[in-house]
Amino acid sequence: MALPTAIRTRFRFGRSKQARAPLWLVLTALVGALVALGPLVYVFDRARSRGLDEVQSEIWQRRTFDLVVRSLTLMLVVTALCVVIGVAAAIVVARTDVPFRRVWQVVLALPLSIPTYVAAYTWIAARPSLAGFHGATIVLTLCSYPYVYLPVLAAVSRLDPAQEEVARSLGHSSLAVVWRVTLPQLRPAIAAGGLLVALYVLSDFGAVGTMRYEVFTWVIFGAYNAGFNPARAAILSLVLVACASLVVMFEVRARGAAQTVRVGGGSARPAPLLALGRARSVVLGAIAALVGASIIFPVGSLLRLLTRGVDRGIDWSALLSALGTSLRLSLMAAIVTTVMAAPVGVLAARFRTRSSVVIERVTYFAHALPGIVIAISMVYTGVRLLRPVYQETPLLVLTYAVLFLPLSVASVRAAIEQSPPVFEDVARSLGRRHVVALLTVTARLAAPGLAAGAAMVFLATMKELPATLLLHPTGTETLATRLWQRSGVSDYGGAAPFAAALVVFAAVPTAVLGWWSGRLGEFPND
Amino acid sequence: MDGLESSPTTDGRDDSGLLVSGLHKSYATRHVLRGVDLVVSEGTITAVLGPSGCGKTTLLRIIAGFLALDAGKVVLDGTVLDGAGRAVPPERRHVGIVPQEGALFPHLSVADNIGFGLRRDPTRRATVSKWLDRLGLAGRESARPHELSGGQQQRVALARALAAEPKLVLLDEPFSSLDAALRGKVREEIASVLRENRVTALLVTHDQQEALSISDRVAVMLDGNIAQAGTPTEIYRFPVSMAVAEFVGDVNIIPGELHGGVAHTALGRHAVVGQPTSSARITCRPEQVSVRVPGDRATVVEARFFGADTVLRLRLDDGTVIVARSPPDTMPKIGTRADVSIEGPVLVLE
Repeated sequence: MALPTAIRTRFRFGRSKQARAPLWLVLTALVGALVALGPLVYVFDRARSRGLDEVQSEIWQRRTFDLVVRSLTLMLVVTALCVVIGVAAAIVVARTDVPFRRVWQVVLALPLSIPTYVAAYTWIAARPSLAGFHGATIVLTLCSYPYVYLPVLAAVSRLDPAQEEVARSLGHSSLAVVWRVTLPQLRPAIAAGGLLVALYVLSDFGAVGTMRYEVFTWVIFGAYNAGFNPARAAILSLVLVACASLVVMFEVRARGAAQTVRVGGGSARPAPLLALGRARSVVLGAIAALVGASIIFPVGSLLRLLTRGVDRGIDWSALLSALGTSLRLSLMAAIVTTVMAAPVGVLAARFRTRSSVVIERVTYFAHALPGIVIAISMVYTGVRLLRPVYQETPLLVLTYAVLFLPLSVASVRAAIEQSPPVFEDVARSLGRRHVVALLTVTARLAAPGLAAGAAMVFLATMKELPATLLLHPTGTETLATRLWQRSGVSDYGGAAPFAAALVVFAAVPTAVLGWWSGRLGEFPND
Repeated sequence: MDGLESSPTTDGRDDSGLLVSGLHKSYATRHVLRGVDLVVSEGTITAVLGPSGCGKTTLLRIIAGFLALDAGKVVLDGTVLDGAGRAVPPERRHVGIVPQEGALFPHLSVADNIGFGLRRDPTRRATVSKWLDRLGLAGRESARPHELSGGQQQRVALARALAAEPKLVLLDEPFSSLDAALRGKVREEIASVLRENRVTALLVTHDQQEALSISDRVAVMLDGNIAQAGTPTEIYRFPVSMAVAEFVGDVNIIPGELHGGVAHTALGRHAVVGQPTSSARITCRPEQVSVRVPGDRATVVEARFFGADTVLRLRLDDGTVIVARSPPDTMPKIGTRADVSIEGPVLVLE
C-alpha cells in the first residue's frame, strides 16, 4: 500500500469533497458570482461609450500621467514606511525584553479598525496645513502598518529559535543574526504584507479624500460626482483596476511563497528574548510614540473636538437619524450578504472541484477592486438595469453585498469547514434530504461562525464611505456621509459627534470582534 | 465454501439482503474498486477486512449512497440502489451508518440524537426510550454527547442508526477509536444487539480479531477486490492465497517438497490442505507448532511473553526460522535446544 493512499483513507466518511455538488447549490452560488462580477461589465461599457479615440486621448494626457505618478508615489512611500515600521515593531514585541511587550502585541494591531477618514479627519482638524501628500502619507502609514506587522509577527513566532542559536554559536552577534538569519526567513511574510499595504493605498478613498490629495480614487469620485464626466470616471477606474491587478498578481505570488516557508510543526519552545540593555528605554520610547501617533492622538483629538462640539450644542436629531440609518443599512447588508455568500461558502467548503474554485475566486475578485470602482460600476448597473432602485436603498445594500461578499464567503467557508461533513452524511442516511440536512445540522453547528461573519459585514458597512457617498438615497444620511460633509466644509467641531459615534459603534466593536475571532486585519475596508 | 448455493430458494427470500456485483470505482488516476462482488444475507453480520487503502471505505460510501459507482450494481432487498439509471439518494435507501467516531450531533441531547431519524409523532418517545434501555443508556437521555464516554457514544450512534429501522447498517471501523480495554466489551455488546434484532450489517475494519470474532462471514479485501469471502474459520484455516493467509494471521513458510498429496519437510511428513501445485509453498500457523525442551532439532533465538501465550522464534538446524505460539508455561531461555513438530495438516499456498 502506497503511503498517500493510506493517508487519504483516513478521511473516512468525511470524504464528501469528491462527490458532485447538487445543482441547486451550484446555481445559487452562480448568482452570487454574477452579482459580484457583473457590474464590472458596465464600467467597460461606459468607458467605451464615447468611442475608443476618446478613451485613448483620455489616457494619454498629461493630467492622467501626473495622476498615475502621484498615486504610485504615494503607494511606494507608504508601503516602504509600513514595511520598516511593521517589521521593526513585530521583531521588537516578539523577540526583545521591551517592557509590556504582551500589551504592545495587541495594541499595535488596533489602528486597523479605525477608518482612515476618521483618522484623517482628526489630523486635518488639528493641523489643516497637512492637507495633501504629507497628510495622506502620515494617515495611511499609521492606519495600515498592521498589514505588515501582523503577518510578520505571526512568522516570527513560528521561527525555530534553534537556527538562530546555531548562528550565534558560529560567531555572529545577535544583531547580525537578525539580519542574516531571521530577516531572510521573514521575507515572504514581509512581501505579502507590503503588497497588501500597496493594494490598500491604491484603493483607499477616505484618507486621500479628506486630505484632498489627487490620486485615482479621489479624482474618479470627483469626475463622477462633481465633474459630471462619467466616461472619464469609468476610464480612470479601468486604469486603476489595471494598477491594482498588477499588485494583486505580485501579492498572490508572495502569498504562495509564504506558505512554502513554514517549517515543520513550528518552534518546539519559545524563543529566547534579546536583552536590549541600555537601548531598552529608546526602543520603549519608539513603540510608545508609534502607539501615541496611531491610536492615542486620533482618539484624544477626537475627544477634544467632541468637547468643543458639545459646547456649541450637538444636533441630536441629525445624529440619531444618521445613526439609525447606519444601523438599518448595516443590518440589511449583513443579512443580504450572508445569504448571498452561503451557497458559495458551502460549495467551497464541501465540494472542492474546479468549477467551485472558480466561483469562489470570482467572488474574491471584488476584494482586489477598489471600493470606488465597485461603487461606480454599481451606479452604471443601476442606471442601465435597475433603474427603479437606482439611488434607492436596495441598490446600496446590493453594493455593500458585492463589496463585502469576499469577507462573508471566507467566514461561511471557515464555519462550514468546522462542522464535519460526517454529520451531513449521518443525517442523510437517516432520511433527511441534502438541503434539509445542510439547514438543520450543518447550519446549526456553523451558526456561531456564520453570526461572526455577519457581524463583520455589519461593522464593515457602518464604516464604508465611497459607495455610501455615491449611492445613498437622496435625503438620507449615515454617520459616514455626515462626517464627510461636515469635515468637507471644515466644520470639524460639528463633525465630531458623528466621528465619535462611528468609533463607538463600528471601530471599537470591530477591534473586539477581530480580537475575539483572531482575524484582526484579515480584510481591509474603508 | 459459499453457503448461498445450498440455501433454499423460496420465492421472495433469495433476494433479501445486500447484493453488490461487479463494482468499479476510480478517482482521477486511481482504480480503487476493481469489480467487487459481495453478498450479505438478511440478518447476518459480514465484515469487510482489509488494510488501509484497499478500497473498503469507498465501498461503504457507495453502498450508503455518498459516492456514485462507475460500473456494477448495488441491490438491497431486491431494490436496485445504484447501477441502473438514477441512483437512489442516501436519504431514501434505508441504509444506516455508524461512523468511526460515532459522529453524534453535538448540538443535540442523547435522546434527540436517537430520535433524529424518526417521525415526530407520539410513538417517537417510546421508540427512543426502548433503544435507550436496550443499550443500557437509560437515564442518560438528556446528556450531551461530550458528556459520554467513547463506548457510550458509540452505543448511541448505533441506537440512532437502528431506531430508524434501516434495512442495512454500515459500521465504519466503529471500535478503532476506543481504547484497547474498552474495545472488546463494546464490540461484544454491539454484536449482540445486532444479532438480537436480526439486523443485516456490514462492518468495515482492518482489525483481524474484530472481523473474525463478531461476524458471520468475512470478506477479505485486497487492492480493490474481494480476495476471499467465507466464514471466519474458513478464512483463517483455508485461505486461498498467501496474501489472504498473511493478512488474517502469522504464517510460517517451511521448505520442503510435495509428493502425492503429502508434504515432506525437515520436520517430517504432513497431511496437506489446499491445492498442491508445483510452485506451491508449504505453510502452517504458529499455533500449530509445538515445542518441547530439551531437544536437539532447533535453537530458541527469541522468546516473548504475552500473558495468555508465549511467542517463540526458533532456528531449525537447516537454517529455517519458524515461529511458535505456545502456552505461557513454556518460556525457555534464548539458546536453549528444543524439539519442534507440526500438529495437524499443513496448508499449501501459491
